[in-house]
Parts: sequence; structure tokens; C-alpha cells
Amino acid sequence: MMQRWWQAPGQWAGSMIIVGLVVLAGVSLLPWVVDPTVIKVADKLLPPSLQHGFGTDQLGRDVLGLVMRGAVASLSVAFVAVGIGAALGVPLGMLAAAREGWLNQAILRANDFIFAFPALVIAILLHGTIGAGMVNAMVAIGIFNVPVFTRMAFGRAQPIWTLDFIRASRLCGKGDLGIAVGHVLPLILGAVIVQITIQLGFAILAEAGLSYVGLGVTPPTPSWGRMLNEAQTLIGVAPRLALIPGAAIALAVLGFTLLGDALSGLVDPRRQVYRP
Amino acid sequence: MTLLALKAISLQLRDKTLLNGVDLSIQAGQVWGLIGASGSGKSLTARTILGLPPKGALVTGSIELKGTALLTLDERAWCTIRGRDIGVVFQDSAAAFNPLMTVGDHVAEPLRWHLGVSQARARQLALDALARAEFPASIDVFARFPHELSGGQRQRAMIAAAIALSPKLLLADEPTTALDVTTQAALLGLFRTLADDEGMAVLLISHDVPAVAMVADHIALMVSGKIVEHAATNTIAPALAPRLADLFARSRPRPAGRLGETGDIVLTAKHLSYAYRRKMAVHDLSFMLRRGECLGIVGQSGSGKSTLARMVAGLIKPSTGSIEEGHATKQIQMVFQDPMGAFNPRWTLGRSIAEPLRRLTGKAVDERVVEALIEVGLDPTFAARYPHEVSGGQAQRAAIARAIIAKPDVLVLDEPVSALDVAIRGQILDLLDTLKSRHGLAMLFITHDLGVARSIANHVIVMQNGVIVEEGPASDVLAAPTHPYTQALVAASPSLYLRS
Repeated sequence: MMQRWWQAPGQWAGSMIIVGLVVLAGVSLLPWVVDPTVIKVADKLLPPSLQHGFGTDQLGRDVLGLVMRGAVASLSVAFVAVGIGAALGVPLGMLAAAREGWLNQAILRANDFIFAFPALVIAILLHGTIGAGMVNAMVAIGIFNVPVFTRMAFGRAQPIWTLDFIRASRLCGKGDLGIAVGHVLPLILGAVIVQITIQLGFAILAEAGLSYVGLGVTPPTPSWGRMLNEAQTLIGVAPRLALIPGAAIALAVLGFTLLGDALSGLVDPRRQVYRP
Repeated sequence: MTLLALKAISLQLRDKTLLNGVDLSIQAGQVWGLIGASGSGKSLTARTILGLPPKGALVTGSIELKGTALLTLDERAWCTIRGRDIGVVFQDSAAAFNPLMTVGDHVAEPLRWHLGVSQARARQLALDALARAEFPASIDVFARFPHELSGGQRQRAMIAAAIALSPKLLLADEPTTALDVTTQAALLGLFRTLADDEGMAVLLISHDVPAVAMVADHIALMVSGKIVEHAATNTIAPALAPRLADLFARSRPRPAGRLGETGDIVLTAKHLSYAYRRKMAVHDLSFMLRRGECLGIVGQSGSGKSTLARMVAGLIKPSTGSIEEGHATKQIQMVFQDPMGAFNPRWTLGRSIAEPLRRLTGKAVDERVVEALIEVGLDPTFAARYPHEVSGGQAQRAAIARAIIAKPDVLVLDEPVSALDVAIRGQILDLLDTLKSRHGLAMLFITHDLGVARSIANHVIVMQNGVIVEEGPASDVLAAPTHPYTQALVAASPSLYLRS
């Protein structure tokens, strides 16, 4: 029997974490919320209090505000990057599955080539042309995601092309594009959504990594990765400055992974009875 | 004396009664056929006899093997009985073997386990078992790996492993379902020999009535977890066992195909060849197809039949040769073997059936779909159903509806009834026959079953390894075959055998 989504605890917890993050990110952008980027050196390194829930950092900025605003950078980079990956990767994978011969080989081998470069290396390569910043992170993580989606879409789509209803569809006069859009895409869509969810978690981690080494979001825009970097020298004085953004990253990745895991149970062909 | 006695065996699983009072009694040296539709509880009965019911199942009643009550045994005692007293042969021989072990190791394993003999002695006994399973001495099967054997040879090796310890009872669950007719006949003959020569009792589970009837002494029919009728194969009389007699009647071949009005030539194939990875799948094949005619293409698996079907349908291009369509030929449609795989699982049947109607929209489409459904004998409400909500026979009717909705001139049918139960087979063949004469359809009917070919085709082509070995009017070729290959096929065909 298929579990209903609210009966799967992973999905429940994952959804709550993600909704929470999005709400916090949204709240931090409201005009009447205190701007966390304002520097007030007099208030530096205050411990947590009613006024500053997580205390302040070495420049007197409100850490709670920074973490909330940091979610904006993380989520927007993750969504755009995974969007780039899925938008390019899924059609490429479906194309490779539809064609045998040189085109299929060209796509898959180019894919293997790109797959050999971690997002960090791509970001360093792009650094020369785009420079550090949010766009650099989005494009680098996006390129890194393309082969992930190409492989996934190829693997799911290829067996579908050998089924008899595809042959029947051909005899009805439909071409490759008509079959790909009408038959193949709807059948792999569930798996694509699962992959998107899982990749969002990885993308958040990758964004934090790039910002940490200075290739991602540039100051003064708050970012979890940079908060970690800046907290490094103060780890003995105020460990919370590293622990809080670290926990935020872990929680966000956990949320997307839990959701992806639970969703994959629903679209797993071994467990699934196809339903409209 | 009674070797195996099942008394009032019932099995409950999660409040569902799956076996409902099964009584069965088998003597040594007897072959019993247990037949029934899928889901009737045949395999479950076998698993219960082996002491391997599904987890959480509640089994009541009693099973006695040579006077020993089996159901009260603990797992340790069971382990000495399975393999030693009861041998098992499964349907899927590919999955039943460990791909990293040789065939010899598989056969020797139960010997070493149960008898604790030395490796050399086990090898000796295993070779002996392979010989008893009638492996030709010329094949050194002992050192081969499972993937190096054909499906039929693997099944034979599994039988060798099952009989190595000379069990008193051999359970065979659909042992020949995946094999073609000649291999099937040889394996079924082996079961008979084991029963006659070694006094083994064999319980043969199958849905194929004619095949079981070739070797079984007794046949039991299972319906919804209960044996409803059983009879000796030579005495199945309508009065004593009406359902079995009915099944037998229905699995008898239908009268030979009628040749109605044949008309213009719709398709001419000239010197067709198809090479795949340097192997010739089809070699220099020529034939003509006329309106109102059904051309049967007969052969075993691997004979190039399906390749031919796809070439004619235009799904693949011939390597050499040509297919010329008659001047009035507009469309070719196809019906596939597996009706479930022929439909997109996410589409309603109506949407799939309407797929060939690409120029029409809206109401006109719905009307044509209803018309096609009625024509193939389905209720118009089937348009709203999904493939998993209908039976195999209904799905195949829907597939035929899709094939005829755009009024094609040629219908290519690739094993359209071989995935269906015998009872439904006849209905589908009747339907195709009717459609053929009503619309003057030309049909290319691919089948491995000579009984089926005989009942629908007017003309047959017998193929072996991609070449035509014999052709002519269906009644002549199948009644008096001249080529040795056709003769072997006819001799091995259970549905033709039943006729005599």
C-alpha cells in the first residue's frame, strides 16, 4: 500500500524544515525587520539576549538576523542552480535515450567529462570570467548539476523507449518529440522531482562551501558559508558564531534530504502501483 | 500407497483466506497436474507443502509425507526434508541459479549438505544426476556457468539438482512456461520418465492444460484456493468433471481458419533481410499479403519472427530488400504480445485507443473510441479505465481496438494470444477472425503455437533461423509437414496433440 504523505514522518519533518526556512528567509526581507548588515562595533560579541536572540558577532551585527538573511542567499542559489541543472540535464538525458549512435555517445561522454569536475573547480574556473558572487555560485553549481540530471533522465527514459506502447505510438505517426513529451516525460517526472529535492540539499551545501572559500556570495550580503569563515578566528571566544550557521546548513540539507528520501519511496517503481 | 496426503489445508493471511480446504492425495510413481488461473493458489499450495508459506500466514489442516506429519515439524526437521525428500523445480531458471557457481556446484551442493559426502563422491553423484536428467554426454555441463546454458538446459540442470538426492516427491512450479514447444515437450517427457523409472511422485503446477495433459495421470483444477475437480486424464468426462471437461474442450484447437473473399495485394515483401550485429536475423524472405487473408508466420523463439513483424510494420528498416505497399494501402497497425506493456500505465485506455486518430478532435474522437470498444466486445465505460484496472484479455481487446480504430489495411499481430489464458485465447482468435472478414483486413499473424496458427491462418510460413523452411496453405502444412523442422514442431505441439 502506498503511504499517504502525512503518514511518512520523514516527509513531514522535511517539509516542515523547508517551509520554516522559506518563511524565515521571507521575514528577514520585510522592510521593518532590522537590517542585519548594519555594523555597530559598540555592540560587538554580545551574548544571546532578548534583544539579540543569538547574540551579536565581532562587528555587532545581529546573528539571528544574519542567519535568517543567509537563508535567502542559500535558497536562491540552490533553486537557480538546480533549475539550471534540471532544465539542461533532463532534455539532454531524454535526447540521449531517444537516439542511439553518435549523438547518444557524444552527450554521455561530454557528461562524464563535466562530471569529473567538482563544483568548486568549476567555480574557480568561472571566477576568472564572472568574478566572485552569487551568479558565479549559481552557474558553477548549475553546471555541476547538469550531468546529474542527464544521467538520471537517461537511465529512467531509456527502458521506456523499448516498451511496446512506444512502438504503438510510432505506428500512430508520432515522431520522437511527440513521444518524448507525450509518453516519456510524464513517466519520469516523479523521479525528476525527487532528484530536484535531493539536489537542492547538495546545492545548499555547495553554496556554503563556495562562500566559505570566498567564491560565492560577496560581502556585505549575509551568507552561512561566509559566517563560518568569519567565525573561524573567534572559535575559542564565541563558538556560537560558528555553531549557529553550521547548524543552519546541516538543518537545511537534512530537510531536503528527508523530503527527497520520502518522495523517492513514493515514485520507486518497485513500490509503486501506477495511479493517475 | 499414498505418498503425499493434504487434508483440508487452509491458509489465512491478513484476514484473507487464500487456501480454502485443499485435499490432495498422490501415490508414488504418479504425475499430478495442478492447474488453475493465476492467483488461484497453485504456487501457494506448493509453498505450503514445502513448509514455506508467506510470513504471517496461518496454516491449518494436515500434510503427511509417507506417514510423517509435516505441519508440526520445527524448522530443523524441515531442513532435512526439503531437498532430500521433496525436490523443487522453479519457473525462472535464470533467477534460481547463483551466477558465480558452476552448474556442477549447484547440483553437488545439496549432496554435500544432506549426505556430508566428500567432494569427489559428490561430484560422482552430481554427474550421475545430470545423466538422469538426460543431459547428452557430449555436453560437459558440469564446469559451465548458468549463463552459458540455454533456458531449456538450465531448467534441465535445475531438475538434476532437484533429483540428485532421489526425493520421493518432486514439485515443479510452471517448469516449462518460459520455454518453446519442442523444449517443453522434452522436459515434460523427463518428468514422466522420472515417475515411471524411479517411482517419484511429481506435482506439476501449470496454467497450460494441453501441456500438462501430455504427461499427467491426474489433473486437479484449482479455483480460488480450492481444488474444485480432479480426474484421471484418460477419464475426463463432462458428467464427472464438467469444468475440467470444459477447459479441455476450449483448449482444443478451433476449426481451421476460413478463407473468405481475398482481394487486392496490399503488401509485397521482396527479398527482405535484416542483420543485427553481423548476425542475420532474417534472410531473403519474400511473400505477398492480400486483403482478407491471414498469413501465419510460425517458428520457435529466435527464428526471426518478431524482427519480420517490425520490418513489415515499418518500425525498423530492412538491411536489404523492400516492402512494397499496394496502391490503396494507407495504414499498417500492430498488436503486441504483452497487452499490459502495450499501454502507457498513466493513460486511460480511451486516450491510448484514440492515439491513432490524430486528425480528429473532441466529440468525434469519443464517438470513434466507443465504436471501436463495442466492436472488440468491450463496454464503452472501459475508455475511462487504466491498464492496471483490467484483465489481460480485456487489455488485449483494447489493444485491438487501438489497432483498428483508424481503419488500417494491414494488421501485424506479434504473438497476440500467447500471454493469455487458454479460455480467453479462443475468444480473441474469434474476434480477429470476425474483424478480418468484416473489414477485409490483411493480417500477418506471428506465433510459435501451431494450434493457434492452424485455427486462424489461411496460409503459413514456417521460419527457422531467419529463413523460410516451408510454406503453403495452413491445413496442408500443419497436417502433412514435409520439412523435418516443421515435423518436429508439429510433433511437440501440445494443442495439436490433444486433437488426436
